[in-house]
Amino acid sequence: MPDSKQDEHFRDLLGRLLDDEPGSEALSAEEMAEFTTLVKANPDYSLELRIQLLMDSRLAQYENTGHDASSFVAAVDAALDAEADGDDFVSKVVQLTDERPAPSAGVPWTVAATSLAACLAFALLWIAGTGNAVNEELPPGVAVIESLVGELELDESNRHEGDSVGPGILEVDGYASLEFYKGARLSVAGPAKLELVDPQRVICHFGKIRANVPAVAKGFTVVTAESEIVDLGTEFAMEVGPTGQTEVHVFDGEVEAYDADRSPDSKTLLTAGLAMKIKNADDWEAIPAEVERFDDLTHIDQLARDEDTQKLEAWKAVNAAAKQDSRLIAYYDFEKDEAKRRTLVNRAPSGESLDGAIVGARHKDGPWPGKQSLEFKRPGDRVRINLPGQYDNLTLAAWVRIDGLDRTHSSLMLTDGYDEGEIHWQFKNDGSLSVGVHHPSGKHNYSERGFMDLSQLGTWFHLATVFDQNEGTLSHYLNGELFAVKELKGTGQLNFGEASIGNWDQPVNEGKNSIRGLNGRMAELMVFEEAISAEEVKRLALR
Amino acid sequence: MAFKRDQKREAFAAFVREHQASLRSFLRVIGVQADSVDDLAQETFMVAYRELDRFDDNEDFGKWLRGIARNLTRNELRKSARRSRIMNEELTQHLLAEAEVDQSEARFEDADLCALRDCLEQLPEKSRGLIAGRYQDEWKASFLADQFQMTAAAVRLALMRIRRQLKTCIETRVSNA
Repeated sequence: MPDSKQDEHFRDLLGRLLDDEPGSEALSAEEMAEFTTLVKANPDYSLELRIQLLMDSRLAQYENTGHDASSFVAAVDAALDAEADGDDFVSKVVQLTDERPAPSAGVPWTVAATSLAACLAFALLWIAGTGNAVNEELPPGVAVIESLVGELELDESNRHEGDSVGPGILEVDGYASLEFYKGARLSVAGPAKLELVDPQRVICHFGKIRANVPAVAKGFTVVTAESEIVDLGTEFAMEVGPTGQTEVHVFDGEVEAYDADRSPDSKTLLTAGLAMKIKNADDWEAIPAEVERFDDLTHIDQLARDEDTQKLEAWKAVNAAAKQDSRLIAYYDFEKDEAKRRTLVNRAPSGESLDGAIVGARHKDGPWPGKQSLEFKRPGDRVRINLPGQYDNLTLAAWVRIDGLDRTHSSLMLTDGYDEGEIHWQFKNDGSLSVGVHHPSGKHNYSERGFMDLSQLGTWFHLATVFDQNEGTLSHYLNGELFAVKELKGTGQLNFGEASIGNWDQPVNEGKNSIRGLNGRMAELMVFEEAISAEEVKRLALR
Repeated sequence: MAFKRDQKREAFAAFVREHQASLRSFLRVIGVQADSVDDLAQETFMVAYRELDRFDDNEDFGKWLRGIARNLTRNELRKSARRSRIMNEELTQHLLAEAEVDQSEARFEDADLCALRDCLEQLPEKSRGLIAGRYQDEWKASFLADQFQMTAAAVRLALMRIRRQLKTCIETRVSNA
């Protein structure tokens, strides 16, 4: 029987869980475990928890306009619309696939042609398979990057945590853990070079890996220069040297090892606790399994958490410096202000006269734990701002996450209307970043392709756009790296006035392309009255 | 074709309106984080819409939705704690199992909503203020404590007690209606 002291303790934990920090951050891991144990052991506690959760949800729905029935129904309706409108976007993605740069010299043309054809065939199959469902959770690919500490490249382009990765050459410097679409999990310690073939097959050129293969993914295969390892539902690790020398260590379950030709005669069964050293086709030696050697690969989540903490600390330093920076016209850090809940507080020295008004948008998690953001989802969601002044040079820098490119244009920040000197900062639904400037000489659109593709939806990135009229250039940075430079096609002072973040007020032509609501989140927006340097952009992107 | 799709959408919109409140409460009760309830409920409806052809008219639509919601929540169990939209893996597993056994909490009809409104009106001013601060303004207990000159612990206990009272009040009203 629970005693009164225990009751009191339970109520304390329950109260903190429900009414303090959102989610599970209110309790430490130990407290959460303790709470769970109490709930599981006592039916009364379990019932109490369920009643409190039920009423918590009902009250949130009843009291909060952001969660009321009509908002929710409208959101589902908008999502269904977005899915129905998806055809356009998909066909554009296929066009993009078609226009990929030619493969570098040295790749035999047959291979290049085959892989391009395979790529197209895959894209087409994918469209045929999913109908018009752009919001389908799984874009073409074989695995998702679940955690990443360090760098990861797929076919020589940088990929980030949360991205889906398709077939291709994967290089890891640091640690990465991948979740394959069929269910296998693979942790990789760099330097490592792998080739992702399909959701059940990987070629390991060199590196240290550890695989966890649940029963549903039985048959997951790792190929090396000298062997082929087929998993029968288990946990195993491998280390592959640069010359193909391979060690396989089995910790749980069973693994079948074959020579590189997969000849049936070479089949060797390895069970838990066994390991094999394979120098070449003729030199196989049994050795004891060494768990400790692969221990680091089981701690990637912890390493990633540590990295998140470091990111938060690094961001706090940027945040503190920005609050003192008089070059900032406005600085919105998107942190919820308990006293002014629906206000987007301007943290720059220019102060509260430049505060924004939050309309519809809701606070959600940001790019890393401990950082908040605003989510723009419904057609009405926006932040209204009014930034006075005329400027020769400007920098816009933001942490952004795009969840869908449902409209022809998705607003990051658009001035009301599009008068002389005004700027439009937005994405187009083919994944390009588009900057519109109304120069005195005319309206000019500067568009940069390839900022986003489907696999990056839902991934946070840092974006900076620098207007430098002294140099006559417009530069874009992605995650602190220079992405593109364009020559400005006009001169003249720039201004904002009344504007919306995540939406567009007073469209120029009602009707065509006038709805530009963002489907995504923003976690920081800096507006500088200067063209800041590349090093400074890098610092803002925490690189 | 277009007409047919519109009809399907219209019929589905009626389903969404009818079932959204119960479904969202259900997701919360099986251990989804408060912030993520609407997202998962939306995903549940999206899956339901895509799979609508498989739904058997003789079945209970609410039950079918809860099945999808349960599966989506189970998927969350696999994700790392950092990215997950559930309260806690073990706790949510327990709550999922509880919901299988006891399905009585699942329904939230219009009548319950009217009852909730009446019950809220009957609350003493301070209690009404706490609920409004917590849910309309989304303030957490420590902030409410300053506003109401109470300790944070007292605010948390008060909120828990009020939620309990409201539950009892709704049940009494609905059974007497």
